[in-house]
Amino acid sequence: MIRGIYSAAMGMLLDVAKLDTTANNLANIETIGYKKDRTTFRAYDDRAIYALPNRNQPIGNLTYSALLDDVYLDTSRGVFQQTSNPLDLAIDSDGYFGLIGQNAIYYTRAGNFKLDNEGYLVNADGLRLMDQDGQPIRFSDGFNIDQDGYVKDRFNNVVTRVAVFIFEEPSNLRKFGYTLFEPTEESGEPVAAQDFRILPGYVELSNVNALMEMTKLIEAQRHFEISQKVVVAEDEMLAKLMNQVGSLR
Amino acid sequence: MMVSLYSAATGMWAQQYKLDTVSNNLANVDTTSYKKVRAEFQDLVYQYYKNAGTPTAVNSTIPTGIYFGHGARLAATTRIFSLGSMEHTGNALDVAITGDGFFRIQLQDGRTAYTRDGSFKIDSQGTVVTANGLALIPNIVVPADAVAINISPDGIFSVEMQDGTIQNLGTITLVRFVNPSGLKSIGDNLYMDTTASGEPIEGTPNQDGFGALQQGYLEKSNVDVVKEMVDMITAQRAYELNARTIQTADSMLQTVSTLKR
Repeated sequence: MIRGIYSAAMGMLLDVAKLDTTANNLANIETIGYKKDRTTFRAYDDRAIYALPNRNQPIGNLTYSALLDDVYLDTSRGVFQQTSNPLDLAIDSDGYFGLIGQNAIYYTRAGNFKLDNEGYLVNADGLRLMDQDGQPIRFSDGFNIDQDGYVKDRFNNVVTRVAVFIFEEPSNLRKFGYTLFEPTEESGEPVAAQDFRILPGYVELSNVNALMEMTKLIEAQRHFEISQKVVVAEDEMLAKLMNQVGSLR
Repeated sequence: MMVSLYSAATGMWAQQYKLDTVSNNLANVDTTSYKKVRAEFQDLVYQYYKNAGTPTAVNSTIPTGIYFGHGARLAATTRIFSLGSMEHTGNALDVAITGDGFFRIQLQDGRTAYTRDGSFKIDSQGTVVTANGLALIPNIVVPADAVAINISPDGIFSVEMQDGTIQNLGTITLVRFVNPSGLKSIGDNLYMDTTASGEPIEGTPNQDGFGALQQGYLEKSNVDVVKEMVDMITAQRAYELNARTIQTADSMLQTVSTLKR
Protein backbone atom coordinates (compact mmCIF):
# COMPACT_ATOMS: atom_id res chain seq x y z
CA MET A 1 0.00 0.00 0.00
CA ILE A 2 2.75 2.39 0.91
CA ARG A 3 4.18 2.28 -2.60
CA GLY A 4 1.15 4.21 -3.85
CA ILE A 5 2.46 7.29 -2.06
CA TYR A 6 5.74 7.02 -3.95
CA SER A 7 4.08 6.45 -7.30
CA ALA A 8 1.94 9.54 -6.80
CA ALA A 9 4.91 11.58 -5.64
CA MET A 10 6.91 10.54 -8.72
CA GLY A 11 3.99 11.68 -10.83
CA MET A 12 4.10 15.06 -9.12
CA LEU A 13 7.83 15.39 -9.85
CA LEU A 14 7.11 14.85 -13.53
CA ASP A 15 4.64 17.71 -13.47
CA VAL A 16 7.34 19.95 -12.03
CA ALA A 17 9.65 18.91 -14.89
CA LYS A 18 6.92 19.62 -17.41
CA LEU A 19 6.29 23.01 -15.84
CA ASP A 20 10.01 23.86 -15.88
CA THR A 21 10.24 23.06 -19.59
CA THR A 22 7.05 24.95 -20.40
CA ALA A 23 8.22 27.96 -18.39
CA ASN A 24 11.44 28.10 -20.41
CA ASN A 25 9.52 27.78 -23.68
CA LEU A 26 7.17 30.59 -22.73
CA ALA A 27 10.01 32.80 -21.51
CA ASN A 28 11.57 32.42 -24.96
CA ILE A 29 8.41 32.89 -26.99
CA GLU A 30 9.90 36.05 -28.53
CA THR A 31 13.48 34.78 -28.86
CA ILE A 32 14.70 34.76 -32.45
CA GLY A 33 15.77 31.26 -33.56
CA TYR A 34 14.63 29.57 -30.33
CA LYS A 35 13.56 25.94 -30.62
CA LYS A 36 11.17 24.60 -28.02
CA ASP A 37 11.78 21.61 -25.75
CA ARG A 38 9.39 18.79 -25.08
CA THR A 39 9.28 16.25 -22.30
CA THR A 40 8.44 12.58 -22.58
CA PHE A 41 7.62 10.26 -19.72
CA ARG A 42 7.70 6.53 -19.44
CA ALA A 43 6.38 3.85 -17.15
CA TYR A 44 9.04 2.60 -14.80
CA ASP A 45 9.48 -0.81 -13.32
CA ASP A 46 6.59 -2.70 -14.85
CA ARG A 47 6.40 -5.83 -12.71
CA ALA A 48 4.28 -8.92 -12.63
CA ILE A 49 2.28 -9.35 -9.47
CA TYR A 50 1.43 -12.69 -7.97
CA ALA A 51 -1.48 -14.10 -6.09
CA LEU A 52 -0.95 -14.82 -2.44
CA PRO A 53 -0.21 -17.04 -0.62
CA ASN A 54 2.10 -19.10 -2.80
CA ARG A 55 3.30 -16.23 -5.05
CA ASN A 56 3.57 -18.45 -8.08
CA GLN A 57 0.40 -17.46 -9.90
CA PRO A 58 0.94 -14.23 -11.85
CA ILE A 59 -2.26 -12.18 -11.94
CA GLY A 60 -1.13 -9.23 -14.07
CA ASN A 61 1.29 -6.36 -14.29
CA LEU A 62 1.58 -3.33 -12.09
CA THR A 63 3.47 -0.20 -12.96
CA TYR A 64 5.22 1.11 -9.93
CA SER A 65 6.06 4.55 -11.08
CA ALA A 66 6.62 7.00 -13.92
CA LEU A 67 9.91 8.57 -14.96
CA LEU A 68 11.05 11.54 -16.97
CA ASP A 69 12.32 9.77 -20.07
CA ASP A 70 13.91 12.64 -21.88
CA VAL A 71 13.71 16.28 -22.79
CA TYR A 72 14.13 16.72 -26.49
CA LEU A 73 14.40 19.46 -29.03
CA ASP A 74 11.54 20.21 -31.39
CA THR A 75 13.28 21.55 -34.49
CA SER A 76 10.12 22.46 -36.39
CA ARG A 77 10.24 25.73 -38.31
CA GLY A 78 9.36 28.98 -36.52
CA VAL A 79 7.35 31.81 -38.02
CA PHE A 80 9.22 34.21 -40.32
CA GLN A 81 8.92 37.87 -39.52
CA GLN A 82 9.76 40.58 -41.99
CA THR A 83 12.14 43.18 -40.60
CA SER A 84 13.45 44.87 -43.79
CA ASN A 85 16.87 44.91 -42.14
CA PRO A 86 19.31 43.63 -44.80
CA LEU A 87 21.51 42.00 -42.14
CA ASP A 88 18.65 39.80 -40.89
CA LEU A 89 18.80 36.36 -42.49
CA ALA A 90 16.32 33.53 -42.10
CA ILE A 91 17.01 30.02 -43.42
CA ASP A 92 13.98 28.93 -45.43
CA SER A 93 15.11 25.29 -45.50
CA ASP A 94 16.75 22.86 -43.10
CA GLY A 95 20.08 23.78 -41.62
CA TYR A 96 21.98 26.06 -39.31
CA PHE A 97 24.39 28.96 -39.63
CA GLY A 98 27.92 28.30 -38.39
CA LEU A 99 29.36 30.80 -35.92
CA ILE A 100 33.07 30.89 -35.18
CA GLY A 101 33.60 30.69 -31.42
CA GLN A 102 36.90 30.86 -29.60
CA ASN A 103 37.37 27.10 -29.34
CA ALA A 104 34.48 25.65 -31.27
CA ILE A 105 31.96 26.27 -33.99
CA TYR A 106 28.44 26.91 -32.81
CA TYR A 107 25.32 26.45 -34.85
CA THR A 108 22.27 28.65 -34.79
CA ARG A 109 19.12 29.57 -36.68
CA ALA A 110 19.05 33.04 -35.14
CA GLY A 111 19.93 35.15 -38.16
CA ASN A 112 19.72 38.61 -36.62
CA PHE A 113 23.28 39.54 -37.58
CA LYS A 114 25.11 42.80 -37.06
CA LEU A 115 28.44 44.21 -38.16
CA ASP A 116 31.35 44.55 -35.78
CA ASN A 117 33.85 47.42 -35.89
CA GLU A 118 35.93 45.57 -38.49
CA GLY A 119 32.92 44.97 -40.72
CA TYR A 120 32.47 41.26 -40.03
CA LEU A 121 28.97 39.80 -39.79
CA VAL A 122 28.45 38.81 -36.15
CA ASN A 123 25.64 37.70 -33.86
CA ALA A 124 24.57 39.60 -30.74
CA ASP A 125 27.51 38.11 -28.81
CA GLY A 126 30.07 39.03 -31.46
CA LEU A 127 30.57 35.52 -32.87
CA ARG A 128 31.42 35.75 -36.57
CA LEU A 129 29.33 34.10 -39.26
CA MET A 130 31.15 31.47 -41.29
CA ASP A 131 31.31 31.20 -45.08
CA GLN A 132 31.68 27.99 -47.08
CA ASP A 133 35.48 28.07 -46.69
CA GLY A 134 35.23 28.35 -42.92
CA GLN A 135 36.29 32.00 -42.97
CA PRO A 136 34.42 34.90 -41.34
CA ILE A 137 32.36 37.04 -43.70
CA ARG A 138 33.45 40.63 -44.05
CA PHE A 139 30.80 43.02 -45.23
CA SER A 140 31.63 46.21 -47.10
CA ASP A 141 29.71 49.05 -48.53
CA GLY A 142 26.88 48.15 -50.86
CA PHE A 143 27.16 44.43 -50.16
CA ASN A 144 24.08 42.28 -50.18
CA ILE A 145 23.16 38.64 -49.68
CA ASP A 146 20.91 36.91 -52.17
CA GLN A 147 18.42 34.09 -51.66
CA ASP A 148 21.00 31.41 -52.40
CA GLY A 149 23.28 32.79 -49.71
CA TYR A 150 25.81 34.40 -52.07
CA VAL A 151 27.40 37.55 -50.68
CA LYS A 152 27.71 40.07 -53.51
CA ASP A 153 29.49 43.39 -53.72
CA ARG A 154 27.93 46.49 -55.20
CA PHE A 155 28.86 45.46 -58.75
CA ASN A 156 27.02 42.15 -58.19
CA ASN A 157 30.24 40.11 -58.12
CA VAL A 158 30.08 37.11 -55.83
CA VAL A 159 32.47 37.57 -52.91
CA THR A 160 31.66 34.44 -50.95
CA ARG A 161 28.75 32.28 -49.88
CA VAL A 162 27.15 31.92 -46.47
CA ALA A 163 27.52 28.39 -45.12
CA VAL A 164 24.46 26.47 -43.97
CA PHE A 165 25.06 23.17 -42.19
CA ILE A 166 22.69 20.26 -41.95
CA PHE A 167 22.71 17.44 -39.42
CA GLU A 168 21.45 13.91 -39.74
CA GLU A 169 19.46 14.17 -36.50
CA PRO A 170 19.08 17.87 -35.66
CA SER A 171 16.76 17.06 -32.73
CA ASN A 172 19.79 15.56 -30.99
CA LEU A 173 21.75 18.80 -31.07
CA ARG A 174 22.76 20.03 -27.66
CA LYS A 175 21.52 23.41 -26.54
CA PHE A 176 24.38 25.62 -25.46
CA GLY A 177 22.16 28.56 -24.52
CA TYR A 178 22.21 31.98 -26.19
CA THR A 179 20.33 30.32 -29.11
CA LEU A 180 23.47 28.33 -29.99
CA PHE A 181 23.61 24.60 -30.62
CA GLU A 182 26.49 22.14 -30.40
CA PRO A 183 26.71 18.89 -32.36
CA THR A 184 26.65 15.63 -30.43
CA GLU A 185 27.49 12.07 -31.39
CA GLU A 186 23.79 11.40 -31.91
CA SER A 187 23.15 14.48 -34.07
CA GLY A 188 25.93 13.55 -36.49
CA GLU A 189 28.65 15.74 -37.97
CA PRO A 190 27.70 19.01 -39.65
CA VAL A 191 27.59 18.81 -43.44
CA ALA A 192 27.70 21.98 -45.53
CA ALA A 193 24.53 22.18 -47.59
CA GLN A 194 24.66 23.25 -51.23
CA ASP A 195 20.96 23.61 -51.79
CA PHE A 196 19.41 26.04 -49.34
CA ARG A 197 17.37 29.19 -49.37
CA ILE A 198 18.03 32.36 -47.40
CA LEU A 199 15.47 35.08 -46.83
CA PRO A 200 17.28 38.38 -46.36
CA GLY A 201 15.27 40.93 -44.38
CA TYR A 202 13.51 38.25 -42.35
CA VAL A 203 14.12 36.60 -38.99
CA GLU A 204 12.83 33.26 -37.80
CA LEU A 205 10.89 33.68 -34.58
CA SER A 206 10.66 30.93 -31.97
CA ASN A 207 8.57 27.85 -32.75
CA VAL A 208 6.80 28.08 -29.38
CA ASN A 209 3.05 27.83 -29.67
CA ALA A 210 1.34 29.71 -26.82
CA LEU A 211 -1.81 27.58 -27.03
CA MET A 212 0.10 24.30 -26.68
CA GLU A 213 2.16 25.63 -23.81
CA MET A 214 -0.89 26.91 -21.94
CA THR A 215 -2.52 23.50 -22.35
CA LYS A 216 0.59 21.93 -20.84
CA LEU A 217 0.43 24.35 -17.92
CA ILE A 218 -3.17 23.32 -17.20
CA GLU A 219 -2.31 19.66 -17.66
CA ALA A 220 0.65 19.88 -15.27
CA GLN A 221 -1.29 21.80 -12.65
CA ARG A 222 -4.36 19.56 -12.65
CA HIS A 223 -2.41 16.32 -12.76
CA PHE A 224 -0.35 17.65 -9.89
CA GLU A 225 -3.53 18.27 -7.88
CA ILE A 226 -4.93 14.82 -8.66
CA SER A 227 -1.68 13.15 -7.62
CA GLN A 228 -1.76 15.16 -4.43
CA LYS A 229 -5.25 13.77 -3.73
CA VAL A 230 -3.83 10.27 -4.14
CA VAL A 231 -1.07 11.00 -1.64
CA VAL A 232 -3.63 12.38 0.81
CA ALA A 233 -5.90 9.34 0.35
CA GLU A 234 -2.98 6.98 0.97
CA ASP A 235 -2.11 8.99 4.03
CA GLU A 236 -5.67 8.68 5.34
CA MET A 237 -5.63 4.94 4.80
CA LEU A 238 -2.37 4.66 6.71
CA ALA A 239 -3.88 6.71 9.52
CA LYS A 240 -6.83 4.34 9.69
CA LEU A 241 -4.50 1.37 9.69
CA MET A 242 -2.51 2.73 12.56
CA ASN A 243 -5.35 4.04 14.66
CA GLN A 244 -8.30 1.71 14.07
CA VAL A 245 -7.23 -1.70 12.81
CA GLY A 246 -6.62 -3.97 15.72
CA SER A 247 -6.99 -1.30 18.33
CA LEU A 248 -7.99 -2.31 21.83
CA ARG A 249 -10.99 -0.61 23.30
CA MET B 1 12.53 26.02 -5.40
CA MET B 2 11.01 25.60 -8.84
CA VAL B 3 13.12 26.60 -11.84
CA SER B 4 9.94 27.60 -13.65
CA LEU B 5 9.30 30.48 -11.25
CA TYR B 6 12.59 32.09 -12.18
CA SER B 7 12.39 31.20 -15.89
CA ALA B 8 9.01 32.88 -16.11
CA ALA B 9 10.34 35.91 -14.24
CA THR B 10 13.15 36.33 -16.79
CA GLY B 11 10.54 36.06 -19.54
CA MET B 12 8.47 38.82 -17.98
CA TRP B 13 11.57 40.92 -17.52
CA ALA B 14 12.48 40.49 -21.20
CA GLN B 15 9.01 41.51 -22.33
CA GLN B 16 9.17 44.56 -20.11
CA TYR B 17 12.31 45.62 -22.01
CA LYS B 18 10.53 45.03 -25.28
CA LEU B 19 7.71 47.31 -24.19
CA ASP B 20 10.27 49.92 -23.12
CA THR B 21 11.81 49.98 -26.61
CA VAL B 22 8.40 49.96 -28.30
CA SER B 23 7.21 52.89 -26.22
CA ASN B 24 10.38 54.85 -26.97
CA ASN B 25 9.99 54.14 -30.69
CA LEU B 26 6.36 55.28 -30.61
CA ALA B 27 7.22 58.38 -28.58
CA ASN B 28 9.69 59.29 -31.34
CA VAL B 29 7.45 58.52 -34.28
CA ASP B 30 7.54 62.19 -35.30
CA THR B 31 11.14 62.88 -34.30
CA THR B 32 13.23 64.01 -37.27
CA SER B 33 15.63 61.25 -38.43
CA TYR B 34 14.89 59.04 -35.40
CA LYS B 35 16.04 55.45 -35.95
CA LYS B 36 13.99 52.73 -34.34
CA VAL B 37 15.45 50.30 -31.80
CA ARG B 38 14.70 46.60 -31.68
CA ALA B 39 15.00 44.45 -28.56
CA GLU B 40 16.51 41.02 -29.25
CA PHE B 41 16.35 38.07 -26.90
CA GLN B 42 18.28 34.86 -26.31
CA ASP B 43 17.70 31.79 -24.21
CA LEU B 44 19.87 31.33 -21.12
CA VAL B 45 22.18 28.45 -20.25
CA TYR B 46 20.86 24.93 -19.90
CA GLN B 47 21.34 22.61 -16.99
CA TYR B 48 22.01 19.03 -18.03
CA TYR B 49 20.83 16.40 -15.57
CA LYS B 50 21.55 13.52 -17.86
CA ASN B 51 23.67 13.86 -20.98
CA ALA B 52 22.72 12.36 -24.28
CA GLY B 53 24.73 9.25 -24.99
CA THR B 54 24.86 8.08 -21.38
CA PRO B 55 24.58 4.28 -21.30
CA THR B 56 21.35 2.93 -19.88
CA ALA B 57 20.84 -0.34 -18.04
CA VAL B 58 19.48 -2.15 -21.08
CA ASN B 59 22.55 -1.91 -23.30
CA SER B 60 21.65 1.22 -25.16
CA THR B 61 22.30 4.93 -24.76
CA ILE B 62 19.99 7.78 -23.89
CA PRO B 63 19.17 9.51 -27.16
CA THR B 64 18.64 13.07 -25.97
CA GLY B 65 19.15 13.32 -22.23
CA ILE B 66 17.40 15.53 -19.74
CA TYR B 67 17.99 19.23 -19.46
CA PHE B 68 16.19 22.34 -18.33
CA GLY B 69 16.51 25.89 -19.54
CA HIS B 70 16.57 28.93 -17.33
CA GLY B 71 14.56 31.46 -19.28
CA ALA B 72 15.39 34.34 -21.57
CA ARG B 73 17.60 37.38 -21.53
CA LEU B 74 17.84 40.62 -23.42
CA ALA B 75 20.77 40.03 -25.79
CA ALA B 76 20.88 43.34 -27.62
CA THR B 77 18.97 46.48 -28.44
CA THR B 78 19.82 47.07 -32.06
CA ARG B 79 19.24 50.40 -33.72
CA ILE B 80 17.99 49.87 -37.25
CA PHE B 81 19.44 52.45 -39.63
CA SER B 82 17.02 52.01 -42.49
CA LEU B 83 16.06 55.18 -44.31
CA GLY B 84 13.06 57.15 -43.07
CA SER B 85 10.67 58.80 -45.48
CA MET B 86 11.46 62.30 -46.76
CA GLU B 87 9.15 65.12 -45.87
CA HIS B 88 9.06 68.32 -47.90
CA THR B 89 9.32 71.40 -45.69
CA GLY B 90 10.37 74.09 -48.14
CA ASN B 91 12.74 75.50 -45.54
CA ALA B 92 16.11 76.39 -47.14
CA LEU B 93 18.07 75.19 -44.09
CA ASP B 94 16.39 71.80 -43.85
CA VAL B 95 18.68 69.15 -45.31
CA ALA B 96 17.95 65.45 -45.62
CA ILE B 97 20.58 62.77 -46.35
CA THR B 98 19.02 60.46 -48.92
CA GLY B 99 21.27 57.51 -48.13
CA ASP B 100 24.24 56.60 -45.96
CA GLY B 101 25.97 59.25 -43.86
CA PHE B 102 25.92 61.50 -40.82
CA PHE B 103 26.47 65.22 -40.32
CA ARG B 104 29.23 66.13 -37.87
CA ILE B 105 28.31 68.38 -34.96
CA GLN B 106 30.63 70.18 -32.56
CA LEU B 107 29.59 69.61 -28.94
CA GLN B 108 30.11 72.34 -26.35
CA ASP B 109 32.99 70.40 -24.74
CA GLY B 110 34.78 70.25 -28.09
CA ARG B 111 34.00 66.62 -28.92
CA THR B 112 32.37 65.62 -32.17
CA ALA B 113 28.90 64.08 -32.33
CA TYR B 114 27.03 62.77 -35.34
CA THR B 115 23.45 63.24 -36.46
CA ARG B 116 21.16 62.67 -39.41
CA ASP B 117 18.86 65.45 -38.26
CA GLY B 118 19.35 68.19 -40.87
CA SER B 119 16.95 70.79 -39.46
CA PHE B 120 19.61 73.50 -39.25
CA LYS B 121 19.18 77.06 -38.03
CA ILE B 122 21.26 80.21 -38.14
CA ASP B 123 22.32 81.73 -34.82
CA SER B 124 22.87 85.44 -34.07
CA GLN B 125 26.43 85.30 -35.52
CA GLY B 126 25.17 83.70 -38.74
CA THR B 127 26.68 80.29 -37.90
CA VAL B 128 24.82 77.22 -39.14
CA VAL B 129 23.74 75.32 -36.00
CA THR B 130 21.43 72.48 -34.97
CA ALA B 131 18.11 73.08 -33.21
CA ASN B 132 20.07 72.97 -29.92
CA GLY B 133 22.56 75.63 -31.10
CA LEU B 134 25.48 73.26 -31.69
CA ALA B 135 27.64 74.22 -34.66
CA LEU B 136 27.91 72.12 -37.81
CA ILE B 137 31.37 70.91 -38.85
CA PRO B 138 32.78 72.40 -41.09
CA ASN B 139 31.83 75.75 -39.63
CA ILE B 140 29.71 77.77 -42.08
CA VAL B 141 28.88 81.42 -41.42
CA VAL B 142 26.12 82.98 -43.50
CA PRO B 143 26.65 86.73 -44.18
CA ALA B 144 23.88 88.99 -42.85
CA ASP B 145 23.08 90.43 -46.29
CA ALA B 146 22.54 87.05 -48.02
CA VAL B 147 19.10 86.70 -49.58
CA ALA B 148 18.99 83.02 -50.53
CA ILE B 149 20.72 79.83 -49.43
CA ASN B 150 21.49 76.98 -51.78
CA ILE B 151 22.78 73.55 -50.78
CA SER B 152 23.71 71.28 -53.66
CA PRO B 153 23.25 67.48 -53.57
CA ASP B 154 27.02 67.09 -53.22
CA GLY B 155 27.18 69.41 -50.21
CA ILE B 156 28.28 72.77 -51.65
CA PHE B 157 26.81 75.48 -49.44
CA SER B 158 26.40 78.78 -51.34
CA VAL B 159 24.42 81.97 -50.79
CA GLU B 160 23.03 84.57 -53.15
CA MET B 161 23.92 88.11 -52.09
CA GLN B 162 21.72 91.19 -52.42
CA ASP B 163 23.60 92.25 -55.56
CA GLY B 164 22.85 88.92 -57.22
CA THR B 165 26.34 87.42 -56.89
CA ILE B 166 26.75 83.83 -55.67
CA GLN B 167 29.16 83.25 -52.80
CA ASN B 168 30.49 79.78 -52.02
CA LEU B 169 30.72 79.28 -48.22
CA GLY B 170 32.07 75.77 -48.04
CA THR B 171 31.18 72.11 -48.48
CA ILE B 172 29.18 70.04 -46.01
CA THR B 173 30.99 66.71 -45.67
CA LEU B 174 29.50 63.56 -44.23
CA VAL B 175 30.91 60.64 -42.28
CA ARG B 176 29.86 57.05 -42.15
CA PHE B 177 30.66 54.05 -39.97
CA VAL B 178 31.38 50.40 -40.65
CA ASN B 179 28.79 49.50 -38.00
CA PRO B 180 26.36 52.37 -37.40
CA SER B 181 24.37 50.17 -34.98
CA GLY B 182 27.39 50.37 -32.69
CA LEU B 183 27.04 54.16 -32.29
CA LYS B 184 26.08 55.38 -28.86
CA SER B 185 22.94 57.52 -28.64
CA ILE B 186 23.38 60.54 -26.42
CA GLY B 187 19.90 61.98 -26.96
CA ASP B 188 18.94 65.10 -28.90
CA ASN B 189 19.22 63.04 -32.13
CA LEU B 190 22.98 62.85 -31.60
CA TYR B 191 25.30 59.85 -31.70
CA MET B 192 28.87 59.34 -30.51
CA ASP B 193 31.35 56.91 -32.06
CA THR B 194 32.49 53.88 -30.03
CA THR B 195 34.97 51.05 -30.56
CA ALA B 196 32.04 48.98 -31.80
CA SER B 197 31.02 51.48 -34.46
CA GLY B 198 34.56 51.88 -35.81
CA GLU B 199 36.27 55.15 -36.75
CA PRO B 200 34.29 57.72 -38.76
CA ILE B 201 35.05 57.64 -42.49
CA GLU B 202 34.77 61.08 -44.08
CA GLY B 203 33.50 61.70 -47.56
CA THR B 204 31.62 63.96 -49.94
CA PRO B 205 27.85 63.59 -50.29
CA ASN B 206 26.62 61.82 -53.42
CA GLN B 207 30.00 60.06 -53.87
CA ASP B 208 31.61 56.81 -52.70
CA GLY B 209 28.36 55.40 -51.37
CA PHE B 210 27.38 58.47 -49.39
CA GLY B 211 23.82 59.71 -49.75
CA ALA B 212 23.04 62.94 -51.59
CA LEU B 213 21.84 66.01 -49.70
CA GLN B 214 18.35 67.23 -50.41
CA GLN B 215 17.59 70.80 -49.50
CA GLY B 216 14.10 71.65 -48.27
CA TYR B 217 13.44 68.14 -47.01
CA LEU B 218 13.70 66.44 -43.63
CA GLU B 219 14.11 62.75 -42.97
CA LYS B 220 11.26 61.47 -40.82
CA SER B 221 11.64 58.65 -38.32
CA ASN B 222 11.75 55.09 -39.67
CA VAL B 223 9.25 53.93 -37.04
CA ASP B 224 6.42 51.89 -38.52
CA VAL B 225 3.44 52.55 -36.25
CA VAL B 226 1.52 49.43 -37.23
CA LYS B 227 4.53 47.21 -36.58
CA GLU B 228 5.16 48.85 -33.21
CA MET B 229 1.51 48.32 -32.23
CA VAL B 230 1.78 44.65 -33.16
CA ASP B 231 5.00 44.42 -31.12
CA MET B 232 3.19 46.02 -28.20
CA ILE B 233 0.43 43.42 -28.40
CA THR B 234 2.87 40.49 -28.58
CA ALA B 235 4.90 41.94 -25.67
CA GLN B 236 1.78 42.26 -23.53
CA ARG B 237 0.53 38.77 -24.35
CA ALA B 238 3.92 37.17 -23.81
CA TYR B 239 4.10 38.99 -20.48
CA GLU B 240 0.71 37.59 -19.51
CA LEU B 241 1.67 34.06 -20.55
CA ASN B 242 4.76 34.20 -18.37
CA ALA B 243 2.72 35.58 -15.48
CA ARG B 244 0.41 32.60 -15.93
CA THR B 245 3.41 30.26 -15.57
CA ILE B 246 4.22 31.88 -12.24
CA GLN B 247 0.61 31.47 -11.11
CA THR B 248 0.69 27.79 -12.07
CA ALA B 249 3.97 27.22 -10.22
CA ASP B 250 2.57 29.04 -7.24
CA SER B 251 -0.60 26.97 -7.17
CA MET B 252 1.43 23.77 -7.44
CA LEU B 253 3.53 24.86 -4.49
CA GLN B 254 0.34 25.50 -2.60
CA THR B 255 -0.81 21.98 -3.45
CA VAL B 256 2.47 20.69 -2.04
CA SER B 257 2.04 22.59 1.18
CA THR B 258 -1.37 20.95 1.75
CA LEU B 259 0.10 17.46 1.41
CA LYS B 260 0.86 17.27 5.09
CA ARG B 261 -2.16 18.00 7.22
